[in-house]
Formats: sequence, C-alpha cells, structure tokens
Amino acid sequence: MPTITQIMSDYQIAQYLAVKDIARKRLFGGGIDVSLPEKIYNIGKSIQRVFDNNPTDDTLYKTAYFLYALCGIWGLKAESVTDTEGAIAPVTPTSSLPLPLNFVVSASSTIVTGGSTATIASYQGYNLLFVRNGIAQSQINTGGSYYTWNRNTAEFECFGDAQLGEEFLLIPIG
Amino acid sequence: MALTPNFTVSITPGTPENLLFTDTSSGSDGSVTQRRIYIQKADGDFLVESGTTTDYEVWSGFPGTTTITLEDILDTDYGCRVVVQWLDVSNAVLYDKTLYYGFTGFNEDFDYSLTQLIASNPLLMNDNSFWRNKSLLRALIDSGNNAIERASDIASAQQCYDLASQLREESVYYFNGNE
Repeated sequence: MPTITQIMSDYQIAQYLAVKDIARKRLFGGGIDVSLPEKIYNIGKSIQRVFDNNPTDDTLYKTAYFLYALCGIWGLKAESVTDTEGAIAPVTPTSSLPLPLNFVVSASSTIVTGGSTATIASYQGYNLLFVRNGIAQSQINTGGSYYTWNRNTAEFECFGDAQLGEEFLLIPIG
Repeated sequence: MALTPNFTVSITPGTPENLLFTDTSSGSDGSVTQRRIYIQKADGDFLVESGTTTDYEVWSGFPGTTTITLEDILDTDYGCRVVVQWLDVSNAVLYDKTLYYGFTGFNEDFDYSLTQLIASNPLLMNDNSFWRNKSLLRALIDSGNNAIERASDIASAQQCYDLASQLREESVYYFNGNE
C-alpha cells in the first residue's frame, strides 16, 4: 500500500489518467464513471488542505485511503508514473572565470612599452595562457619569447620585453 | 536600509475563526515602532476582535514579534481586503501593504467533514443530492478563490462564499448523511 504522502502526490495524476481513459473509450466512457475525475478532484482537494497543514493528522488515514480506493486502477498507474519519472540534468552554471585581457602594448597598457611584468590579481588561482601577436607562447625557455606565471602570487612576466604595437592576449584557465 | 513590507495570513484547519498573521518584511527601519491591521469586508465593514473599538488591530512588538493570532475574528467565510501599516511613534504611516484574501476556513472544514462522511459511508457517493451539493460546494469555494486570485474582486468572491455558506448552514437540507 502506498503511504499517505504518496497518495497525495499521486491522486492528481490519477485524475488526468482517468480523464484520458474516459475520453479514449468514447461512448459512456466505456462503462467508467464519467464523473470520476471530478470526484477525485473534489475529494482530493479537501484532503490536500488538511494534509498540507499536518501530514500526520489522524483523520487522514481514513480519508486518504478512501481517496486511493476511489482512484482505482488509475491510482496504480499513477504510482508507476511517479516511480519512472526522470530528472533533467541542471544547466551548466555560468563560468566564474574572469574575462581574458586583450590589449595592444602602449605607454598606458597593462604591460607598458618596454615593460615585461604585471600582477593580475583577478587571475590569482587560475592557470594562464599567453598569446603574443596571435602566437601561443610557451613557458619553456627555448631561446625565443616565452613567459612565466605564478598563479599563487598572480605575477606574470614575459621574456622579450613588450614592444609598442604588439598584441597581447592573456587567458585565464580554470 | 529601508523596509520592504510584506505579510501573510493563514488559517489552521479546525480553527476557522482565527487568523494567523506573519510579518515577512525584509530590511529594517528604526523609525517603525508599531503596526496596524485593517481587515475590510466586501460590504466595507472592518473585522476586529471582540472588545476592539477601532477599525484596526494593533500588532505590537516590531520588529521582534513577527506573528500575531487574531482570535474569534471570523464568524463565517469572507473575501477581504487586508491592509497592514507600519507606523512611526507619531502615528505617521511609513509603509503599508495591501493583499486580498479569501478566508474560507469554515466551508473548507465543512467540505472535509463531508469527505470524512463519505469515507465512512462510500454509498453516499451514489446519492445524487449529496454528491451534487458537495460538488457545488467545492465549485463555489474555488470560484470565490478565483475571483480574488485573478481579479482581487472581494465582492464577487463574497457572493460565492455566501452561497457556499448557505449549503453549510442549511446542511441538513442539502446533505443527507444517514444514507
């Protein structure tokens, strides 16, 4: 037997399942009491108010199980509906990563002309990808341009000082 | 920080004559020292507790006291316009909030008693008079509630509630429980 809580969850499902069956069987509802959905609604609604106020009200045992009996086979079908119902996976939350920094080196840019270091506090704790003039840079010194990034102190340094007009793109990575 | 005034009213099944008010305001305002509750019926009269000489009930203890129960304030079901005011020490209204409610505890309790009667004697379901009138009772309560929820129309709601109350008050003619 279902619990009272389950009955109160299922009766509204039983109501529409009964409507569907009566409509499908057309003439005289195929012998089903055509007022059954209304009866389920009427009885269910009056019980719902008492249940919502106190789910352990001692009058509910009698009234809720009467409602269950009234629902008949549609009550049983309603149980299977609630047993097999699924859930939609939540939408991936919006990224909390700070926005990339993209600028052309100048006397007033984040890294000024001739400069090579910057402290980017908002990137602290993230990894960092550095793209210089459209070319992704390495953190390994192979003789050319490269960079270092300390995600604990948020200190960035590029090797090969910044030249006027260069395009820098700093991308935080989670 | 300003106060965002709000409140709710509820009725506990079994005690339809009492109203429980809960202050759900957010924020704060040190100027507020008192609250007043006005409960106006569709005919314009105000509902107050026995012994109250004003049109309103005083809701003291702001902000510490968030609930108040007005006892024996209803004698039947009413559609009401409910106004709560938040005032300063010189009785100037600083904030107010108006909500419309259908207080249907009497007829809802009666409807549940009919459900209990049917649960004890399922053959009543086949009594056309009994069932037709129980169905009508439900429709009248729901109709009144719709008038308030959809249109804040307490006059129309009151008409529906009065018809439902008639079924309850003259139940001996409408519901034969001895089937």
